[in-house]
Amino acid sequence: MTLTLLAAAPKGPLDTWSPTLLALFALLLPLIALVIVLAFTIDSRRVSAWIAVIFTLAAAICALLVVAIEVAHPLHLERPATFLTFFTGQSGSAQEFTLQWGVLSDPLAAVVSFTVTLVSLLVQIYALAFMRREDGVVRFYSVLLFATFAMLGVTFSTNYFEMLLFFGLVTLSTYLMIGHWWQREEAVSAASRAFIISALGDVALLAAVAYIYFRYNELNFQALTGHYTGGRVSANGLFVMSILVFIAAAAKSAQFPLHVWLSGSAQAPAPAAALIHSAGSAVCGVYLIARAYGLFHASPRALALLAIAGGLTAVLGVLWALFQDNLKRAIAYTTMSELGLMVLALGIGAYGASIFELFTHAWPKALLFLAAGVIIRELRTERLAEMGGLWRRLRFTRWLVLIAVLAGAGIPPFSTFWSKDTILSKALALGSPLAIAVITAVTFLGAMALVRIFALVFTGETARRRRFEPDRIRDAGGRLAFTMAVLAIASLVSGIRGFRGRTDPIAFVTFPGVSLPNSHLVAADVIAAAAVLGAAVAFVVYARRVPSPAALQPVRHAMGEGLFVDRAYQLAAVGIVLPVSRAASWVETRVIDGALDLVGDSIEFVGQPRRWLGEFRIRPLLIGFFAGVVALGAIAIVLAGGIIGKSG
Amino acid sequence: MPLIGALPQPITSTPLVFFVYLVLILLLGSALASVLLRNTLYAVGAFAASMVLVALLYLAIAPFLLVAIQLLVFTTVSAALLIGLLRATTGLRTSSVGRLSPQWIIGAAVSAAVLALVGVVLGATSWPTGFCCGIIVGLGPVLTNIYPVGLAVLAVILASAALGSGLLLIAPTLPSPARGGGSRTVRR
Amino acid sequence: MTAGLNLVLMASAALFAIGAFALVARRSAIVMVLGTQFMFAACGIAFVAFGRFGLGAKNQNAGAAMALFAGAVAVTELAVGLAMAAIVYREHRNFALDADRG
Repeated sequence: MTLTLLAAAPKGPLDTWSPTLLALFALLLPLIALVIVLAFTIDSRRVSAWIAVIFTLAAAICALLVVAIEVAHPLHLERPATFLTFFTGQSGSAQEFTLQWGVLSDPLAAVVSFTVTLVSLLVQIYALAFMRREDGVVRFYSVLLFATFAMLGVTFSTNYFEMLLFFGLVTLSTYLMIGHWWQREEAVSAASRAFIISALGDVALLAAVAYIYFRYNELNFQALTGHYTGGRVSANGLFVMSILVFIAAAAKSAQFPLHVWLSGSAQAPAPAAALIHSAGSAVCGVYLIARAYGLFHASPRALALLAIAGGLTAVLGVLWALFQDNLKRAIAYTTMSELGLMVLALGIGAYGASIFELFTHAWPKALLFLAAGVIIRELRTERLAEMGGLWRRLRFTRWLVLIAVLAGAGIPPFSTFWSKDTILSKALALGSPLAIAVITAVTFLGAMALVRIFALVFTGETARRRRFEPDRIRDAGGRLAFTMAVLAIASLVSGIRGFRGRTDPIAFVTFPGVSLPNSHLVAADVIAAAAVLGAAVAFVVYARRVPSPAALQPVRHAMGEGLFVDRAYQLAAVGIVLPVSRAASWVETRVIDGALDLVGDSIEFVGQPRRWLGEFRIRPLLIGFFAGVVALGAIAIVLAGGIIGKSG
Repeated sequence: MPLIGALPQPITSTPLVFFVYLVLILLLGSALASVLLRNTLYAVGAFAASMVLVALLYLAIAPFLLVAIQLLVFTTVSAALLIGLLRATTGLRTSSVGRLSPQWIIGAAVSAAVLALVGVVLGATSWPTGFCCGIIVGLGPVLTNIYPVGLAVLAVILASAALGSGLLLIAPTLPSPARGGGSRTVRR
Repeated sequence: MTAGLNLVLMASAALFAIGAFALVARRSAIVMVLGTQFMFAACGIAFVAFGRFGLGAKNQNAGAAMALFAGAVAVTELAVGLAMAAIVYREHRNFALDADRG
């Protein structure tokens, strides 16, 4: 194992700090904290939690420094990313392929890693108070640390294979988070569903890795950047590669046919759900597409696929969000819609805008989930139909949720407005009416969905329920309020573009060959109008609890169930997978286990010398053994002597 | 500490040759004693002495690391295991193995055959020597670079053996079969 | 007078023969195990001898490495053999393995 630091950056005053070293620290700190918690402090809840928080804070600081270095470097657009190679596995000669495990630090990784670490930190501080009276707190923090490590690993991956490995870790961490309250049956089934779909994505990524390696003999992102357009692989081949990568990304980011796990993620505890949606698995898929964007950019059909799938996801997600009765599930579907919007943006070429959308969307979404945790705990229900009237009671949280909803809806000057505006600008620049219509509709409906949530929870009267005293509702305080306030501030300011004229967030993360969209005033107006209009409509409809006509009830039911896509998957699983697994289990029980039992029984027989020592006659056996050795040796000598004699 | 030559030359310095001869004679003598003695405890003692003599032989012709391991690890672990077993079972009394059996003759014949075999090999062949006389590599790098898996397995095995011998030494006497037999861990 | 490969190999063979004799001729389980130990030691000496005198300086310490591994295997086998001896003792209160009984 060799530890080499290869710094390819020009020397300047801010280059003495290597961003990759900081990135490596940021990556390893959660892992070290996890090891410490599991090895030493597993018996103490408080110490484990604080260790997790402190180490994540350190990781967040490292990520922030990485961002600062990336921002401050004057040539950050052209500088090649620095590597930290800490393992080299070679097969054969020096010209053979070397698999380098490294840490890649460039603007894309910097932005996303900062998002991940900061959200993880805030979620952990929130959980200090939220999970205080629960069992399994140490397990929760361990899983959060593991998830942070896995996400940072994805973010800092240098090649497809490393990303595959960390994708698998993200799958596992998602499963652990969703299934944290494993005593609940729905949580276990939701976790299993998430695991299966995510693992399906990992398999697709494995196939993509194999195919890419087979055709290009190279897996490193940076080394591959020029190869896609080189013409070594046909257009069909590129499309197949991009389909495989897209399947992996779709599984992680809940794009249309692979979205069914996202509603189940509402089973996770609120802080874990916040992490998954804003900086966890949901972000991984979009990040993969952004990293592999050279591949997609080289194949116009792939870009079209992205746009279509993303648009479909965005529209469906927001439609289904409007008909959910469960608070967390409603928020989850709005996440699905936003992820679809990000993928759509990547499809139409708004690369920087998509990543910016990822950045700006994380804060209000995390804030919504954390607030949902408070709301659900205070109201002791998850159903929106039973909520209401919290405006008077949660005097601090109400402002935070209002900010989150406005920010998520895209109302200026809050965060997602700026990113959605840029996406629409790119669509306008392309002149594609479908994209323009979809983006506008998604903004409108998205604003509706979010304000619907706000209206149903905060306005009106608290529904009377048996054994529930609305006067005992207390607002969130202390750490809960602190973390949510931080997220609210982030939702407010994260849209700011042009900090002292040096960095435009859209221009910060770029892809060569993809033009930056200018921000049309038209686009800004359209987005603002759509968002405000949607918010107003939703407020009017839902604040007054306008009852929906009974004729629409089947439609509502269908939408609420996500158009039964999930049900279709379950039927397919039972019909197809079950017989196959029965056959496989027969083979395993009879054939494989039988063979192993045979080996085990024979070992057990040998291990009881009482039995066979009384039956064997050792001495003749030994004599025969040595006689055989002598005979074999004699033969060998004669043969060897003959050979040596011949060769002289 | 005798120098280890770089070329496959026999040892020619007379004191060292005498040392090697002496060690070999003592080694064979103590090995014979070990297998011929009736008292098991003495046999174990002679065995330990032979292992120490093997280590002394290694002093002349092998890297010092091997000497150290032979002495510190193999010898002590083996002796500890043996003495532990003896302590647990017979209580270090005289062994109760019976008188000579006719099989001794057959055993002697087998041993003579093996010896003769190697004698024939030595007499009839001259092994090819000297490929290329390259760099001298120390034992440590050889172990870690060329045989890392073997080194790992070795470490695990030695650790287990050390652990086992320690456990055996501190374990109480084995239960006698007259107490009803059966292992202590079986519950009815 | 020189001490070369032949001398050490002869000694190794003799030691191996002594070990084989103990394994075949003695009744006591412990002494039989000692015999196997001598055989392993003889192998180790042979390895080292070839490393030192035989095939060239580059393999000198490879011979020692092999002896190291052989010694480890020897210790393992010692443990297993002694465990069996303990079982035999538990049954019969001595270590004897007769030809009739095995």
